[in-house]
Amino acid sequence: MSSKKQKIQLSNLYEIRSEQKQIETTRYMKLLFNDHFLVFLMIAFGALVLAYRNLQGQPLTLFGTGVTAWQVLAVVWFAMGLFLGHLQTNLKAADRIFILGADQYLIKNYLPKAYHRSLFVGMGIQLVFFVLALPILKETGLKSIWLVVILFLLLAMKYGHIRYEYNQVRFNQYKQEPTVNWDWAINQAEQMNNRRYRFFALFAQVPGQGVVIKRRAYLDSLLKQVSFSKSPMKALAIRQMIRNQSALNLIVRQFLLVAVLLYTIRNQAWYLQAALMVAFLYIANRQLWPVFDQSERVLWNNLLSPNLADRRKSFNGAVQTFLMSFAILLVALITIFSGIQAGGASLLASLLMLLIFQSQTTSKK
Amino acid sequence: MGLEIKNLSAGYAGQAVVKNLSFSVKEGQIVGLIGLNGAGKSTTLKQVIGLKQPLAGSLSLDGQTLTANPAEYKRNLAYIPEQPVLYDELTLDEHLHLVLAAHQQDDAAHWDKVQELLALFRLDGKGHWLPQHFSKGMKQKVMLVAAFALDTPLLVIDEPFLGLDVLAQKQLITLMKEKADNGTAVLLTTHLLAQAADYVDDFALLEDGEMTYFGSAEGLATSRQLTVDHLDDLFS
Repeated sequence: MSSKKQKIQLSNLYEIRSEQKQIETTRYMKLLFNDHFLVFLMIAFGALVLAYRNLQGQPLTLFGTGVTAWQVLAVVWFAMGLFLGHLQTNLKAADRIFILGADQYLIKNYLPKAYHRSLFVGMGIQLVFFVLALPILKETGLKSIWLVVILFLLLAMKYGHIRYEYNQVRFNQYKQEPTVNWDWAINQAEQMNNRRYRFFALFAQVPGQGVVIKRRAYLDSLLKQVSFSKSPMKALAIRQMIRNQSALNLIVRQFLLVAVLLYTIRNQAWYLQAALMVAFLYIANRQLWPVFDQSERVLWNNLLSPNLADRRKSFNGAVQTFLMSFAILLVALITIFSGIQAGGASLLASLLMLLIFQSQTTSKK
Repeated sequence: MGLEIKNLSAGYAGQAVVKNLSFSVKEGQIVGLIGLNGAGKSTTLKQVIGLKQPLAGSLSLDGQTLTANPAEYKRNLAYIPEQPVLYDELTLDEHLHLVLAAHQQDDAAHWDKVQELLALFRLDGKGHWLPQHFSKGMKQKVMLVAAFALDTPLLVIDEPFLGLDVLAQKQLITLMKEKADNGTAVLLTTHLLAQAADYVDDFALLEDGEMTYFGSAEGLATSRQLTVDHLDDLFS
């Protein structure tokens, strides 16, 4: 947080909004790249490098078409990059009421600042994506001149896109001086914000994001096996984990990423597969606990067990049961990809990990 | 037996909002806790349901104190908060199963009653709905069904009519009277004094954290040179 508070004036509104956004981004980055996720990322990055080294030098032709997986990967990568870096006006819905009268100031001062900054950031993102794609481009066998052409195209497309958005936000209805196209501007700014939050929510639970719940009626018969009368806390926890879209999607996304990485390192030593699996269980365990905190605001939670430590213990039991199902699937995949030895080692490693979670979490508070 | 509050002082950060409060809600009695905003009604209710520790004094429910046996004490009361708070991930039916389990009451034995209450509040057929599909009034009705399905010696209701339609308000009054007739002690807060005079046995008036009156609606009206019909003018 900035130590000196700036006085909000129209002349420095864009700078203040940008600073606020940076502070918020830093806060979310800290949430995203927490200690646990960093451990997971390090292992996943290691696996990615290994996967690249395994595949390096192989043409990877797709079904005799002449197109290689490297080319497809490069196109997908650049397409992803082009999705990032839009016009960042940082306008808010309330602006159309409170600074409606400052339309011309916005057109002549505020929006040009937003445009130039967005161009700088947008181009920078394309450049980063290009540099990161160099190992893949190298495998496509393209000559240097083509690399320059690709970079030029990426930058030109991004420039064209931001310029188009800039023209949209300035409305020239009466063929006189342009005015702010408020409907478009607010809608675009809100979309940008939502996209940003969704990005952070991909691998972290972002506070302030509404909880999305899906009932998943097809699992009703399974859920009936865990009845409230037998074990109310466990029944509650299992339902929360299954229906809480943000928690479950997070785990499933990581599970899929790990499954792909396990395939790409299938020929490596067995302990690498076991380590990747342990990393997954470690991060997934951490990411399920916010669900417990969410339910603590409901008064009935106190009745399930008046003691917080007991409630944590019951929830932890449910988490281990839940994670065990993912662990079994991963062990099966490892056995298929890498053989019985790697599968057995991963099974033992995951059991050990779940036992450690059990003892650690129950000893808290 | 019922609820017994003795010399209760309660507040926040060591500052007493409620001072030296003593009154009881006996079996079959309906007591209305009244007062202006900030008088200490919610603070008192938080003490009664065991959400906060008192600064001084004691509370007991059917002889059980909150300090000696918190689990038993809390299981013996049903509470309807001013704002409905539900689990986002549980369906209506699952909420009711959970509440019965949390109060250690037999699910099968209570389920017919649950169905009657659901029908009464026009929630029947919505057992598989999640809270996100309910309006605010419907969420409040879920809280009502959950509380009235239980057999507890004390029922605590914070602003019972907030967000309820006229029909549901009438049904709620009938249910409260039935509960009281069956021996349940009922403690509620309300701002609708003239209406409450019809079903409340005694009013406990809080002013600046102190109880300045405890007794019947008639006595309260007389003490302020009002008629019962004009009790809503109590603070004007």
